[in-house]
Amino acid sequence: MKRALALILALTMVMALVACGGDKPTSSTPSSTPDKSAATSTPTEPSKPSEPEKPAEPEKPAEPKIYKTYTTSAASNAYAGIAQTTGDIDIQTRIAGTLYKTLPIDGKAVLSPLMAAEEPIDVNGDGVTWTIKLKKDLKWENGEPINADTFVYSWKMALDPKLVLGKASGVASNQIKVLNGMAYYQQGQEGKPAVAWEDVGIKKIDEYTLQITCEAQVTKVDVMRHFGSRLTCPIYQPLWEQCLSADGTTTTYGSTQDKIISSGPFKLTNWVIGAVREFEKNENYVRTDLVKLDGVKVTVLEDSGTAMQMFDKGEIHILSMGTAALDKYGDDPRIMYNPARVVYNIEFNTRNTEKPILNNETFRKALYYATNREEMAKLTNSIPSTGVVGARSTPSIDGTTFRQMAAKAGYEPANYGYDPTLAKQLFDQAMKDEGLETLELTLLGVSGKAESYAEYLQENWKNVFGADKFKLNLNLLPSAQNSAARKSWKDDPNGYEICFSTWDLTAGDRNAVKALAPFTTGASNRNAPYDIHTELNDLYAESQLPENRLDQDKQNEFALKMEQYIIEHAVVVPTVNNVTKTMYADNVILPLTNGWDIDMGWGAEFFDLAQ
Amino acid sequence: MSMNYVSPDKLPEELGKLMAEQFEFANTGEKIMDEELKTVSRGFFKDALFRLKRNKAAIAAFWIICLMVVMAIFAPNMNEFTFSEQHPDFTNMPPRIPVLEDLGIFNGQRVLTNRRLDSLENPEKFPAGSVLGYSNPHEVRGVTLVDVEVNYYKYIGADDTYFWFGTDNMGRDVWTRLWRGTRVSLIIAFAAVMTDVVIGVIYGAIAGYYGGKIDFFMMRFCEILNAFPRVVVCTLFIMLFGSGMLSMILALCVRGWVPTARMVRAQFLRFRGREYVMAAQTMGVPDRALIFRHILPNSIGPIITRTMVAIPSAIFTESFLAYIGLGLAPPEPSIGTMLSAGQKVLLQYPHLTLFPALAISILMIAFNLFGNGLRDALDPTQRGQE
Repeated sequence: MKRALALILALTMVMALVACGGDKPTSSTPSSTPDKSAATSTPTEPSKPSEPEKPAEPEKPAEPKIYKTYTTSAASNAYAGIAQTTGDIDIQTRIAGTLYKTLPIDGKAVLSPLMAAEEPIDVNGDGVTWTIKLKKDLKWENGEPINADTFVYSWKMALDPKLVLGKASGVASNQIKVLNGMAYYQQGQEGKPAVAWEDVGIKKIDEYTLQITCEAQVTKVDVMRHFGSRLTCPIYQPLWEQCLSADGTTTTYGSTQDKIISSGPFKLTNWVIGAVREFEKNENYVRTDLVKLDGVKVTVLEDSGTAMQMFDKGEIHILSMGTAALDKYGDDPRIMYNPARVVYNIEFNTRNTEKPILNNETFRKALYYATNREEMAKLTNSIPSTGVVGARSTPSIDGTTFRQMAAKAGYEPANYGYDPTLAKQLFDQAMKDEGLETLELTLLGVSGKAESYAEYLQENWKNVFGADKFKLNLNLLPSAQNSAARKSWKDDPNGYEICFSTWDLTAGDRNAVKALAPFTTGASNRNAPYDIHTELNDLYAESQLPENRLDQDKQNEFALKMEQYIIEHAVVVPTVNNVTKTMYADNVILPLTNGWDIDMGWGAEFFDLAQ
Repeated sequence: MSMNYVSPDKLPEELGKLMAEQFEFANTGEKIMDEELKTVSRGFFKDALFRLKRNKAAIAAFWIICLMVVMAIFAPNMNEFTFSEQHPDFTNMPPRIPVLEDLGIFNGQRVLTNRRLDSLENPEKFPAGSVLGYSNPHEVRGVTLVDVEVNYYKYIGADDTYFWFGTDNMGRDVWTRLWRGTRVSLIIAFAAVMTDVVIGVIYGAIAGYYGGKIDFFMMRFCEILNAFPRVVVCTLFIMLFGSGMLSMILALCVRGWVPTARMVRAQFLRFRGREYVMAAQTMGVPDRALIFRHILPNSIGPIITRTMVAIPSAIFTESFLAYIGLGLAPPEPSIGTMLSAGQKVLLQYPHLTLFPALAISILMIAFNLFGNGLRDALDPTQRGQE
């Protein structure tokens, strides 16, 4: 009897749930006449994104301006040489001072000296040796001075051959290649010769002057961008020495709140790993006049639904929008769209001995033409991408994007490269060449990231090639396992078959050749074997010759040729280019008139809040 | 009280007049027997079935399980959509069920929030007849926004289509995917539990029957195995075999058989010293026959109960693993993967969570009630009490 009662109770509960769920929009009676008087009573004047909607009330004492934001990525280390996750980088941008930086000057993003007193000086006029003068009143957050010694020590530690920090190339080989920088860093590796620090192209001339020697000729802007990277930020020597292990092979610098000192616009005052990061304005920052906020609070939120609710309640000032948020906010004029840097490419493990068809160009082209990029882009409100350089790349002074250049060059296939008939022909040809009847491939991806793209391709390619001939399996792994599997081809040629790749390269924004470098053998951080594409590698090598490297027009020509080669030989198969959708609360004042800049982004360090 | 002899002279007068021939022998030619028993003798299983039948909740649960199994087999083919077929133009459609839509539920209506008031007249954005009304006009940066109630099927241009349980973020039919997912969840659960039982019974029987050192080492091995966290084991299997049904079943099995083995071992420890076992041993019956013919049948009740209780826990574990992203490889759905995808957009598209949540809740409740009923029914101490 009791059991029957329990069952009835349980069923009642279930029914109640059904009733609640089904009751969504249907039972509410829509109000047929809008309350127009109410609508017109609120201010109707359109206001610019950067203008506050609620005017400050003068009688109230000014509250501290705390900008509240959120992140999906927990931070694990706040030091640039170790920082890896988006969360780490988020801390970095707020606490790292650099020699140069893109600053908001009169509403425009200008690459300016920050800790440097002036632009770098080309000593011999050959673009190889540069001197950088420092400002004299530079200070850490605790008031201790920062001078040339600080920088030399910081870079020496970043390149330390015993520590072997992951981000050393940010100091030695980013926009410029510092003489012997990488050689010094790599000397501990097998077969590498010893290099003395004295031979590295980083020198102190006097207390406020640094001299940088490059391996090859570079431009002034290259030097400024290189030392504008947060990876070249200074480290605080007394704390560093405390954190370094006795044998000098590991460091805990930056791993907790009390093991990092700020030289940037904010100082880290509270850091609960995986939960919250709080910052206060650093009054000792070199350009404290540009910092309008009193503090920043970053909450770690893994769920986009929670973020939406918090944004509605005014608990956070920014919302990064996914498909569901876009549907919810519909035509809200505050939504701002920006093409992201990242193109989702399919990369091939051409060395795979079990699937030699991956080395068959006809087959790769079949996949290229079988991809319905337009439909795929609809799933996430992104943009179809026929090429591998992202829509954000703007390698020209007049603001022409690389994609516009490519469209003018005319090598992009029609219909975003979707041609199922041609794809099927190429597929049948490739299968005949390889003597195969059926084919089963496995696509390696990251779980929870771009899953819908992978699932779309699974169905899309099956429909084009025929379910009886082709099957795509998905192997979606957590991020760390995914990158381990992708790198495994060097030891195990059959470590993976095809995979999704995204390259988020800042340098590619201003030089498309840099965005294409990952698809060549020479790229130090490559994952797939690209050595088979000799012509592409030759083009890249030629683009890096001294006579071509500093000429922007020539670089663009090379980039166009390289991308054309990639498309025509289906070196990788580009699919879609993400678009970031962001919404700021009404009281956020953006530092740039245009809102967003390719070099500066939104410039979150320099936001202001209307009271 | 002893009977006193009464002489015929002292008999009452009428009795004295009775003649000897007037007497006759009773019960001659008839056997005198004990009264026949009124209860019927029943076997163990008949008795169990009798008790199960009296448990209404268990019987209801049994029919619900049958219904779910039938639906899992046939429902994915009940409409024109396949589980992997995508409709990028028809993503996140609300549920729309014929007949029910006339009653005002599951009629494909939705409220689109924050749409421009001036766009309602635009037939390209809102096709004729799609707008049912609007509310909550508010101004944002000089633009009047309203919440528009629409017939979403008309709005999207699919008026003649019925997605019974709506569609997901890829425009796939939730009805088809849900029942296919239920099928997958059931297959995984049954396969995992059956494997558990086979391994557990054999392992437990050997440990329990032989006892001593064999038992000691076998049980310590169980404890070591049980110490590995399930999520870690599952991740390793997925890395090794790729994400799929096989790795999921293996991950569930690798530790799942330990409780069965322990239970069977306990049963063997209980029965192996009984006289009938000793008698059989003395007669030279081989160990294998002793284990499987003589002792194991005694444990069949607990084994069945344990199986029925393990199935919902396997379904739940599978869903849990899928929920945290260690589930089946797409496009194969399971209830867990559907829930995992649904909860991310719970407030926007509640139907994506509602239906899989209902399905797993009903399955869990039904299996648990049925398992409880079986446990009571097969409990030997309850025998003959009702």
